[in-house]
Amino acid sequence: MEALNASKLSPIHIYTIQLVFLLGTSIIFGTPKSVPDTWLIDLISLLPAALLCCLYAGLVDASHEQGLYPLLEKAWGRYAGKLLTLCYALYFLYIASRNIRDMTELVMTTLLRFTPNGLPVVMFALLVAYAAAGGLPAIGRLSVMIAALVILFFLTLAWMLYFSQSIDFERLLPFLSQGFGKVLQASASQSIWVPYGELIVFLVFVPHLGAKREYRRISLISLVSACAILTMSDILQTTTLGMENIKFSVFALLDAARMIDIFHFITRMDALVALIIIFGVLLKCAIFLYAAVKGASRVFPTQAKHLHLSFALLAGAFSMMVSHNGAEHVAEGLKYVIYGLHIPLQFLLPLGTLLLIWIRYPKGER
Amino acid sequence: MEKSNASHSAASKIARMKESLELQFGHSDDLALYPLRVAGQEGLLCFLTTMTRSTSMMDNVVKPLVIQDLSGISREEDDLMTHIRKHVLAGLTTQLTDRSEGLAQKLGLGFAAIVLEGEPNLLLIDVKDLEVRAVSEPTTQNVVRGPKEGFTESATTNMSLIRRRIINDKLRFEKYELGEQTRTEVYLTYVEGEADERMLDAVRQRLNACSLVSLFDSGSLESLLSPEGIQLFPTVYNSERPDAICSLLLDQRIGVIVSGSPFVLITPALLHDFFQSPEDRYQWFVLSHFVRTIRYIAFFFSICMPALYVAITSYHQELIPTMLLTSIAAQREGIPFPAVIEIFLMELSFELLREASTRMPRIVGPSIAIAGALVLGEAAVQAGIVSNINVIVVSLAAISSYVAPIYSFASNIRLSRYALIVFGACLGLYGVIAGCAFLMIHLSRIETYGIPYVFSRYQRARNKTTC
Amino acid sequence: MTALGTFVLALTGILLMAMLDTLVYQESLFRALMGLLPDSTRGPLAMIIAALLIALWADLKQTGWMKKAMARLSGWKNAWKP
Repeated sequence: MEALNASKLSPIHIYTIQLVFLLGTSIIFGTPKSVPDTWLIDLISLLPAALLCCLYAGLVDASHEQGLYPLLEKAWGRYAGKLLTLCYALYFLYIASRNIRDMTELVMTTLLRFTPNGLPVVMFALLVAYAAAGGLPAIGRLSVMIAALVILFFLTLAWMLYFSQSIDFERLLPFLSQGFGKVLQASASQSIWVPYGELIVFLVFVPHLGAKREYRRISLISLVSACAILTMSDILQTTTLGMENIKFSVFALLDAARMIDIFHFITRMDALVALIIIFGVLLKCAIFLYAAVKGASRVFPTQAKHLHLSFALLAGAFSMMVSHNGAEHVAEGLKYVIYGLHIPLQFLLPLGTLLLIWIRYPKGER
Repeated sequence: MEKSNASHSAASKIARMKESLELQFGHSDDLALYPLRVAGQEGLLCFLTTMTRSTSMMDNVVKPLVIQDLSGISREEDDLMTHIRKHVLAGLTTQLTDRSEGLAQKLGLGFAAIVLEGEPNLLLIDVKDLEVRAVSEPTTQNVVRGPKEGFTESATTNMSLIRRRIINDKLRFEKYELGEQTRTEVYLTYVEGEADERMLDAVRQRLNACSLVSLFDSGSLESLLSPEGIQLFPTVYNSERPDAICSLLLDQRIGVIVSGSPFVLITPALLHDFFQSPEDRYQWFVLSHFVRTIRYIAFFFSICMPALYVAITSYHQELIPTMLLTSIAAQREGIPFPAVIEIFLMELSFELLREASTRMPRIVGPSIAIAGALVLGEAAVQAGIVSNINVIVVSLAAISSYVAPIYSFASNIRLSRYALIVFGACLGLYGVIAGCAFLMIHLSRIETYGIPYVFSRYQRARNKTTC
Repeated sequence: MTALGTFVLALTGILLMAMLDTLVYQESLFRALMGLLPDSTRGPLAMIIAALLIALWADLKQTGWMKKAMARLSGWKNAWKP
């Protein structure tokens, strides 16, 4: 029937979507461990991340609240704009498939050791398609549930780790053993792009986000809360595992959860971590899929009803083809994807677009 | 000559009417065609004896007509029928009509018709007086503290139960007649100013588009008022309690009363409504919140527990604490079936028990309870068909499913439980999580008339109901 | 249009992954593509083909071609009736 409230998301929904988005996979992996003080990297990357968000806010302004894709067409011209739209759609689909691969790796190693890869991936792809096809308000409501679950499970993990006396704050020392410069470098080169830079997806649904100032405030609040939770997660991982072990663990929170041992009664809480990542990745992929479908349906005009399912299956297929094994996946994600995809598409291209807009339409004409 | 001619044609008019009515009703036994004599004219009183009571007919219609001598009434102002209508039968609902085609239908609706020789018009009088069940305690949705009145099958009684609680001139009742063969009275209820106009129009449209042949209970209307698609979760709330319905009507909802059904519908319904008992408003708010949290947890348990049991004992035994694991393993030692089959056996026998205890005549009731407890409990375990832990899991899930105050909600959820068990059996914990994720996504997607099912602004009651 | 979009994205996606593989393994693009396709076994390929078929079906349903074809197909049932 007719909608009584058009398609504006309520502020709480925007906050929880962004929060789960930022936490999604980073809470499990932790920050890339080029430097032992991972938690410091987290704290410091708040500043560049906020600057990046200012760039995105500038883009929101420049697009007169129409979103990323119309902005690209306006700045670069119709055909180049359409090509760039397609680029971004593919980029979002690719990130979604990388996230699905992350989740699949974790689930395969902890829960389903002997199942062939395809089956859980297909199920997950169907779920993501169902979630994305519901539209943005439905994703908003889903995100409130998922945010509550993720934070609840994370706090339960922290509490259980505390009670099993696995936390030892001495493992945080030595502090700044490799110098502050390395921390800054690591934060600039890796930590900004992976959780925080992906916020560029939210530029796609600017029309649904409501007032600009409100959105900026909510964005900032969600950045700060995500940063706090990620820092806490890193501290948890370091104090439980120790700086040496954390270098060798891919799923740091999982390894930390395995240290839970309360009176030899509650042990092996891998399932909690699997829950966190499944729900987190579900929401992330739903958002990416929604953005990709929006982009593709601008370039290939179509009624996007079945596009969600096809693209979700594509993302699932790509997730199996993305890398041949887990090690390659991690290495690719840490270096090549960042330099090859994230930096150009999250930073250089938006910067270029903004400059073009300022040059071509100096007084803000339409 | 004229007079005799007139009387001749009038007599044949009455005789004709008598014949045609008897033909239409097939000489049915309850068709009453009594000759009358009013103001010197021959007349006919027709009605269905099953639609009214003889005392009511005598007191209200026959006595006033027969006692007064109406022959001397002057015909200047009104003709005889209008005079009878205004003076003799004042206070009753009457209609004057000059067409005799729709007479049978009117008789079926509970009208009585007076036909006089010399008068061209027929007088229809509403004499419907049916036996109704007395207002008693509702059979579902019990509360410890709160009013114990329940709706009955008569729409008039139900409307009166609502009207006496919402003493507000803005309370509206709109009548519809649905069902081609049954012509059931359906009343749309709302408080003007509270319910949204567009939602009202949408509901009216749906009621007008109803193409049911027969309508006996409000349950048949539920699918009419729900959004399209598979309805795993009910989007129409139904209740037997007037206080629940009234508080929802004051909360911007729309009610539908169906004559013949003690369950009044409310649309749009939110997930929040299905976990709220009217008692929550009459108790201390902390207690209400606590109990409501218990209800949500129980709902979650009742769906997931059997599936989790299957998944964890089949695939992820390491999640169970060691001591419990050894005892479970010992219990499941001699069981010939895998966990899935065990759970399905127990669930299906619980369904049988549930269905049998509902349909069984009340006299034989206790024997079913004994048989069920003995067979499903002790005997099955001792025979080595199922294990103890299995019985515990299934019974806990079954008990938890009845914590939700609305029965139709619990029934809908039972199906998702089976789906989750299958998922858990195939893909272990991942399958259960995926199934739960599917339910969560489905919940967040449901919208009735644009109102979302969860986290809607309709959830916050606009009117303060507790101090 | 849906099918076209899916097809284009599938192709460009494979191309993107091959390009990243060339960066990681320092091999030529052709070799990366060849390594990508057979190595992935039947699962991903089946999913891509399923995605394309679904998109195709959605397009056909939209153009109404499907309805006409189904009508013509079910018409044969009545052909033998007197």
